[in-house]
Amino acid sequence: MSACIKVDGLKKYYGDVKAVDGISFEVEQGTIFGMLGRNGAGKTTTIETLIGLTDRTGGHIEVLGLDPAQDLEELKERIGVQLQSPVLFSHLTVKETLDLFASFYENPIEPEEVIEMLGLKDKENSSMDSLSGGQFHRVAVALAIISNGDIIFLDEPTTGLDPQARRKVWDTIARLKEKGKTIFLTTHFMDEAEILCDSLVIIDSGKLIAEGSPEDLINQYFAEQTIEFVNSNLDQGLLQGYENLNGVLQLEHYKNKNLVKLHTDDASTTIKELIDFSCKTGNTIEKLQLRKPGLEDLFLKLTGSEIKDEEF
Amino acid sequence: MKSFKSLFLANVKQYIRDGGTVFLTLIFPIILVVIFGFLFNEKTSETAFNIGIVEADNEIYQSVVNTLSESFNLITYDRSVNMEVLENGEIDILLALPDIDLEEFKDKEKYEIEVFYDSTKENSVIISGIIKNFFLEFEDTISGKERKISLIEKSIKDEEKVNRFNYLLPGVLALTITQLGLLGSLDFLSLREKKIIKSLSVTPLSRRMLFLSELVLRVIIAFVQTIIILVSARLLFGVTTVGNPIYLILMVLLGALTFTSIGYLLICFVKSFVAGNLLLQIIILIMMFLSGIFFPIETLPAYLKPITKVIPLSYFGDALRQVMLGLKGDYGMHMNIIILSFVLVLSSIITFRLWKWE
Ligand SMILES: Nc1ncnc2c1ncn2[C@@H]1O[C@H](COP(=O)(O)OP(=O)(O)OP(=O)(O)O)[C@@H](O)[C@H]1O
Ligand SMILES: [Mg+2]
Repeated sequence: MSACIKVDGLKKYYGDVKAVDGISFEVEQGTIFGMLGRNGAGKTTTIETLIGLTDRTGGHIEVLGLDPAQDLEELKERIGVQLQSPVLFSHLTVKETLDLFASFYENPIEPEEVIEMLGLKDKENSSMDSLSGGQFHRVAVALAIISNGDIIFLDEPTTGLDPQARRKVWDTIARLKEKGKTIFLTTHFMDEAEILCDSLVIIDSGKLIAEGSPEDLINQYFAEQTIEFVNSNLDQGLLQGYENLNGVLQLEHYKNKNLVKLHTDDASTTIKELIDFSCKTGNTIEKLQLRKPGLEDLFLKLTGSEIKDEEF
Repeated sequence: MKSFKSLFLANVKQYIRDGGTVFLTLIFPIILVVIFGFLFNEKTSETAFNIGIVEADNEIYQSVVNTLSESFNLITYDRSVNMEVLENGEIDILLALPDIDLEEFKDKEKYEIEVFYDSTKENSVIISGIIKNFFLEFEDTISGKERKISLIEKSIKDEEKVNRFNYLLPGVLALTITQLGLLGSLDFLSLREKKIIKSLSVTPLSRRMLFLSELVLRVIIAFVQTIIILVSARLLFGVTTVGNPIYLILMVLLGALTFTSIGYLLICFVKSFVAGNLLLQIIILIMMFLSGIFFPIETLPAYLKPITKVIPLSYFGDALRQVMLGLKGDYGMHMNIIILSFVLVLSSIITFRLWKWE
């Protein structure tokens, strides 16, 4: 496996705004790469410098061995791009728009095939300005795919899509990967990143703050898991007993709901002992569940809450 | 080439399906024709033209004199006639016909027919242009030569109107094409503003193609407008024009290109569609009033006359007038062509320097 995108110390400043401020990463060929970050983190800016739409303030970029600042013509032949909010000819139909874009590439995918992939069949003869937001967005994704490029850049491919359409786009992206394409996507949906991405980076204020596969990242930042249950006959002794179970790092008690949360770094041992303990003391526990942190928790942990933002 | 074709078709569809634009570009010329037609389309019979002829008793001229007398009042003079008859308006033009001997006709190198006219008088100018065609036909008749392209001399036999409106029609065409060319650049501004260009520029489509397909569309619309103007002037007011259609096509092409490139140059200096629209409308207005396409230059105050000379529309209007009516213009035809071409090249060069795609 080799890297088909290499970014080293990429910077893009708009006057005082450091939209991208020295990020480095690599994307392996044939993988799905995700870029996460809050609004204004610099995701779109990064994509636009990678595809040569925006020139960079500093740093080194190599896409398919080409520098977008120098070999743009050649690069454009070999990539497909879906911009975050593209604008297209309003009076053309979906089919006409796809045919038009197909004509720009040497070796495009058949428009019919892309229409089928993204479930646009019943809209193919509708004019672009009559489409709903989600339908329009799917056409934009279709235009990136039609290029048959080696790398497909998708800037928020599923924003504004209904659950069925999202699944369709996920399937499509998975199919592209099977065909050996590399996919570079940005998203705000953590489930999407977790399911689709082989590797991802999280950026914040133009800086890279984490990278790895979704699993690695979660394991790296969340060794602990949380056991939750309800007990209506809680007393101080019981709580003390729970806290002394093996693996428990911290206990949280929500009095109004009789809810107990045990943070543990060894979930299986803690659960086993919790059940033994309950049987021994004859105390029933209800609504037992194990909460595994997801990418969402990781994301919030890394990028902070609004309150943290104000401290800066 | 494949991408040019499909982009061009996309442009055409976008243009045609946007009902408003089509309506404006196609209806506007008709509106102009109608307005000018009603204002200036006086009947010829009310303004009879008087042609003075010297030495018309030669047999050989009989046919041409007959033809002329069907449409004009002919007054014959002898060789001692004084130019005063022209100046005081007794006649509009004076033809001095040389003696032609039919026997000698084939051997003699050339004959000159002197046409005296008063360039400050409109009728005089109009007739002097039209009269040429009579003699072209006349020469063909006596030399027995057959013409491949038949001119529209017939229309004058049929008492078609030659009046102020006829004189203005080239101006209407010139203004329409100027407007089309200049305002055409606004399409680009709106493409840029709406970020369609940005969306297209992530594809391998070259920007030159984008530019070219816009330009080709402009030129085609220019020809459609030309046809609309000529046809509507004919159908509504029975006005026809003389002149070589090939020259007309070439002139329309040159004008469309020149004014389109001026349009692109001008929008280099504005950021938004609204600002561009305003700038172009003002410039069109200035050109319209100061170019002399509708108002004789003589009627302008002296200090404005130099401005007329730097307005490209002056030369375009003048050229169209010459091409369509066969009249002698304010400037030589060569000068018109050279100036328009020069403006085309210069504005293209500057535009390429200043152009911003985003
Ligand atoms: N043309 C521009 N001029 C000035 N500032 C800009 C420009 N484009 C982007 N920025 C700024 O750069 C920063 C990063 O913007 P960017 O569009 O890359 O964010 P993003 O991560 O894609 O956000 P979102 O999730 O909302 O799409 C923002 O602060 C934005 O205001
Ligand atoms: Mg973005």
